[in-house]
Amino acid sequence: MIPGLAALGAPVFGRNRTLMGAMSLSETPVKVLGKRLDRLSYELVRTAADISREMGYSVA
Amino acid sequence: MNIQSVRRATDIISLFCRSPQPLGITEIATALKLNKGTVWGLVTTLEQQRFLQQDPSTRKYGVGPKLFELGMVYVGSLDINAKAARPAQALAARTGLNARIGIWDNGSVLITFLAVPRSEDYLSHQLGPRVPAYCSAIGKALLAYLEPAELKNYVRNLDTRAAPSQAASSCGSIWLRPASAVTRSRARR
Repeated sequence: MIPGLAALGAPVFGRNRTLMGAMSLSETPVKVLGKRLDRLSYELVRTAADISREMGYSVA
Repeated sequence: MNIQSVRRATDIISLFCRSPQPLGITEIATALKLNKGTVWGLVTTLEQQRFLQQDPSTRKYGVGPKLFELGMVYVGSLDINAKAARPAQALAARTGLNARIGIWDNGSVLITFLAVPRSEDYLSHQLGPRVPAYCSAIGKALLAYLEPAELKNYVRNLDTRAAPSQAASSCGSIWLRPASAVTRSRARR
């Protein structure tokens, strides 16, 4: 918890849906929680999903 | 060197995880409830091996280059860093925000990779490397998907003095929607 800092987080999975780690995007609240919030959330989740696939995660 | 000495030496090194400031022999001895002679012997050995280094002006000890070297070796050995570095860097550049990769380690989050949109800002964004899970976005993302037994263990061991009840709501981070409901329901168990 750091005053003046806002962040979004998303998990990263590997084979068999094993939790491998997580990823965050952070900056000032204005930059993170403003109009771009939905877009940033989407970008973060998509990147975390890309990394998860690289780590051996598959939806099937 | 017996096992107790090894344990004490690693306890001394571990002290510096919580104290970025250099520590004197007396401070180390007090923190570990050891006598100063014992601490002096261990600390000078660790200094000779470059695990610690002494500031000549204050005569206090701080982390030495060998620990940095080991940390870099560790960070380079992590599969998640190898796989995530490029996408994280691209995400930081695309969004203009700081992207971090972290892993669950010993009850909290260890930040293993940081991508900043402008490389000159790198040092000003040093955070952690260890951050509490309950009040960080990266930590909540992990908590939401921890194995139930591990989550239960985490909640049981959480230091409530360090984790005021309003911390989760006042920390200014947003839980990603799919994870938030899970995190909340699990955290309250």
